[in-house]
Order: sequence, then structure tokens, then C-alpha cells
Amino acid sequence: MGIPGRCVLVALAVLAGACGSGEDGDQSSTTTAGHDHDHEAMEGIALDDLDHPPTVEAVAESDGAGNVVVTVTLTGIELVPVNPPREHQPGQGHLHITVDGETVAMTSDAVHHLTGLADGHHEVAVRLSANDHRDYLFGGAPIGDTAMVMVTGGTAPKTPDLVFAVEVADGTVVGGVQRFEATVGDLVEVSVTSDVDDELHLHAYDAIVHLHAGGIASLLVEVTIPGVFEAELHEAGYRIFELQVS
Amino acid sequence: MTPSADLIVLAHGVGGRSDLPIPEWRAAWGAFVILVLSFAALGLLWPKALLRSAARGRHLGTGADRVTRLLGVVAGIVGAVLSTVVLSAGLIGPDTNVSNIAPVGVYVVFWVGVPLLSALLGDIWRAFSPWEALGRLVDASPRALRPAPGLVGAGWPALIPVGAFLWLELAYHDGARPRVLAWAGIAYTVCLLALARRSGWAVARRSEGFGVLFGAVGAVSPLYRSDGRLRIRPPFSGLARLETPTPVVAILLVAIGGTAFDGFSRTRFWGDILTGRSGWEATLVNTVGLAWVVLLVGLAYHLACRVGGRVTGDQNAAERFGVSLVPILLGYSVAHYFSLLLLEGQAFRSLLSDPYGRGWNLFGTLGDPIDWTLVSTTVVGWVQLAAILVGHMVAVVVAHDRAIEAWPPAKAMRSQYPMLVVMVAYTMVALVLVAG
Repeated sequence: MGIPGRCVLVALAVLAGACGSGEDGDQSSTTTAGHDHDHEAMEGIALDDLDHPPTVEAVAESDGAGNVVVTVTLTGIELVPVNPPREHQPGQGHLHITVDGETVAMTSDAVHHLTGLADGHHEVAVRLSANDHRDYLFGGAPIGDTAMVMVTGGTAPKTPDLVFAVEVADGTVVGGVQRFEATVGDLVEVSVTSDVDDELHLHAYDAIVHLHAGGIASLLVEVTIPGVFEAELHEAGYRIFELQVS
Repeated sequence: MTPSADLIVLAHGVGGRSDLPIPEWRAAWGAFVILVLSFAALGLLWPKALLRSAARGRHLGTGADRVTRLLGVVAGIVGAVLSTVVLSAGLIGPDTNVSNIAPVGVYVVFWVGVPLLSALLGDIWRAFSPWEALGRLVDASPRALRPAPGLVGAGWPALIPVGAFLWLELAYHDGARPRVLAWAGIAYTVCLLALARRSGWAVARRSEGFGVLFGAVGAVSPLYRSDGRLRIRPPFSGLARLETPTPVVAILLVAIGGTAFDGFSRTRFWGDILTGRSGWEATLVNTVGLAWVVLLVGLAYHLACRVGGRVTGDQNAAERFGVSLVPILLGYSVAHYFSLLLLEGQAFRSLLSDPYGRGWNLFGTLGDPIDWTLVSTTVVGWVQLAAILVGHMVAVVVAHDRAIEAWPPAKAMRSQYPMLVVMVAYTMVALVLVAG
């Protein structure tokens, strides 16, 4: 988390950030939340000319106490630690694990434990990523696997204290830029409807939500830092709302 | 984990947390009353010019002189190392702002940190400045100096770096990209050194806009050096001895205008104008906005000097009262950037451990998250209010002292009425803007 123990981000689609630029060098698994650090590096590495491209199979099992064990079976790839960062090497890589679209870990372990999940169905996705965090692609799609898991005995699903909505259409914010007011400690949900693909970034909270054209994405954040924070579209570059926390 | 995602998407050079609104109109009216009352009080209680003699201060002792000399050498080394690191990181580090030290180094440490420190410690930029060091190096080689053209010799080119800097920070859509900053820095260095080679560093220094600006701000410091001696004087009194030729006045006005536009561009009014615009379109709109605010600030000052000059028959009012712009600029800077320095400035510390984005962790600070709660919004609000108010009050005092120096009290007071109107206008606008 951006600020450990301070803010809880449960964005519907928070992409991994800061891939491996921090934490201790000997860690093989890095828990992340935050932002996406390098857009130029996001295009992926096509392995279409390999006769035997790497394969990934993932199994996710709930232990009945809010935890999930993800077991990944791999062929054709050597898993190497995420830290320290290293250059792309063919045949090497690590795993990016997402839960409900939120990247929760980058790891070189084939077995990964997810903890503190809320009750209910979750989608666990595992993607094979190169040392420099680009996806390995085969046939234009990322190499990876998805497993559904039913979690029991975990935390109760959270309900936000405040819900706000924003609509981005025709290259502008419908109704103008609004300032949403919240109080420290509130769990705030902002649902964003957009007619373009983009990324929403909430300053200081380091939250990124991916917007898909025609879809609704939600930013769920427990507000802990007082101040006024701008939420901007990454590609378009303009502000779409402000969050005032007092 | 990278420290500040805020450096990714930047409507402004940098900036994550804005500050909570203060009750703007109440503050603005309070400031109005305080300014007018202090102006009236000055007329009654300050019949003689006091600052110029107070500004001499007293010598702190030879031990202090030696320490200052040593610190000067250390500062020169630190300045050379840091500027090399920031520039080279801008050139070869990741071009993504997040893991590059250049944006926070330039926009927070250099642009905000140096002037605020100068206000406390005096003209420290001269000791830190890599351009100062390079310029002196150029001067060490024997050559026939050619005089600079009149405008250059007068220091007008100093407007270019300051104006360009503000444009990059506040208007240009890619202004926080490390490569952009690095190339801008290189281009500036080359031009400056070419001028130093042609006409000598003493001339080129007048075109080093940042040095001119930071030097002027340093005049408010209680500490200064004269003939190698460290002296102490009442805070702000040094302004009495600061000369502000027209180009310096222009730089101060541009810097004030830029800071005001920074506040203005964070208002929802401007946010609505910018919504839906990106890239060069946003740059164009911001450029027009920036130019307008700078023009308005400059025009207000110009008019006040014209009208005030008519009262006294003074042709020189703009230069005479230019010093009063220094505390105003300082007040604006503190109000707008105090929290930026303390919050986003933390990213500099953490990025120093890995300036090139190579996964180094030289000082063990890499990945330290920014503590966004280091200063509370209440403290920030009060600092903002105090900074703007104190800045303008000092401006009124300094201008009054200058007027009393030149004219008998009654005439001096009359010459200051238009200036008072401008001060009140600046203050109220400033308060409404930081409140936005």
C-alpha cells in the first residue's frame, strides 16, 4: 500500500505500480498497490515464434479463514526474483497476481498466499511477466491463467460511507469538475463512467483505476489524509473531480 | 515502491495534496483592515527612514567568517554534485517522472527550497550555484572580452530563464518530463557560458535569472556577507540596501504572476476551462492564462508607480519601490509551496538513494513513502495566511521607508496611496487564491 497501514485501497482495477523499485532485495514476493510506473514498457513481448511457448496453470483454494493459496504450474520459464530489478532475459520472468483486477503481488514463487480477502467470489488471475514487467504474449494475449475462488471466513464485504459518481463523455466531465467532501476515516466510493479507455489517478493516495470505454469503474478508498486531492485522467491529462478530506 | 505517483500526472510541475480552504473572504477583509491600519500607523510612527542604517547590522566575529567560508566551499561541492546528478538523471534515467529525481529536484528543491532557504540564510545560491562555478571557470581562461549589447548588459535576458521555467512548470503539458528538464537545463547552461566567454561572468551573471531572483529574496535574510565578513541585521532590513533595476523588477513581477497563476490554475474555475483539453491544447490555454495573470500583476504595479510618481514628480518609482515586491513574492511562495516542499520534497530524499532508477538503494531511503500528514492542514492554513499578510505588511513598510528617504513625510505618504491600493488588491487576490 502507498502508506502502509494508513489507507486501504480496494479499487476495482488498481494496476501494479512501482514494479520492484523498492523493498528489500532478497524478497521474492512484493505486495503492491499504487500506480503504473512505466508506460513505454507496457506493450508486451510476443513469443509467437517459439515452438513451445511457456504455459501457466493456476489453482486457487480457499482455506475457509479468508485466505487463498494460489498454486501455479509452469513450463518453459525460469522464475527469477523481482528485486533487484533486472533487464529482460528470454526464458526468465516472474508472476503478476491480480485479485478482481487489482494487482496484489509480483512474485517468483510458484505458490502464493493471499490473505485478508472479503467473503464472496473472487477472480484470481496470474500473468507471466518478463523481468522488466512486460507481459509475455502468445497469439496477442497475455500468457496466464485465471481461477475463481469462493472465500469464506474472511472479512465482511465493505460498504462505503459515501458514494459519488462522475461521468466522462465527449472528452469532458458531464456537469463540470465537482469537489466531493469527505471526513477522515470515511470509506469513499467514486464510480466513474467513461466513453474512452483511460486511467484515473487520485493524487497522494496513489490510487489508479483503469477506465474502459462504456464501462463503470469504481475507486474505493478509505480517506486518511486531510487535504484537497485532484483526480486526473492519465492519458487525457485533465482533472475530473476533487476529493476534499477534512 | 515508488514514493510519489503524483509526479506522474501533472497539471502543474508537481503537486499532490492541495491544502484545505481557509475562509477566504473573512481572511481577505481581515488582511484589508490590517494593511490599511498599518499604513496609517506608519504615517504617524515612522517619520524618518530607519531601515538603511539598521541594515548594516553588526559583525558576528572572525570565527563565524571562517565557518562561513568553509560552508561556502562545502555548498559549492554539494551544488555541483546535486546538479550533476539531477541533470544526468534527467538525461539518462527513466523518462517517467516517477522514478526519476529530476522533476522533484528541479521543481521542489531548486525552485522552492533554494529561495525559502535564501530568505533565512542569505544569498546562498551563489555558493551552491553550478552556473556560478562554471562561469568563474570560464573567466579563468584569458581572452579579450567584448562588451555585451545594451539590453544584455542591463540584465534583461534574465527574464528568459525565469519566464521559460514558469512556462514549463505551469503551462507546458510535458513540463515534468525528465528529458525536457534536462535539455532545458543544458540549453540554458550553454547560452549562459557562451555569454560568459564573450563578455565575462560578471556580465553573464546578470542574465542568470535564478541567481538574480534568489539573490533578491536573500536580501530579506538577517544574515549577509560583506567583504568576507558575516554580519547580522534585523530580518527584512536588508531590503533597504537592495537595488532593483528595471529588469529585476520585471523578474519579480513575472515570478509573482507565475505563483498567482499556479494558485489560479488550481481553482475549479480554471479546472472547468481545462476539462476536455489535453496536450498542446491545454498548453496553449495555460500559456494564455499565465501570460494574462503576469500581465495583470505587472500592470497593477506599473499603474501604481505611474500614479504615485505623478504625485512626487518621480520618474523612477518602479525601480525605487521594486524592493517591496520581494517580500510579496516570498509571502506568495511560502503560502503556495510550503506544503509542497515539506510533502513532495520527501520524494527527493527517497529518490537520492536511486537517482537513475536502477534499483540502487544508496542511503536506504528508497521507497520511503511520503508522509502526507507531516504538516496538518490547519498549520498549513495558518502559515499561508501569515505568509501573505506578513509579506504585504513588510512590503508596505519597506516602500514607506524608501519614500520617507526621498521626500518629506506628507508627500511620501501621498506617493504611497496608489501602492497601498495595489498591496491590498494583491493581498486579497492572493488569499482568495490560496483558499481556492
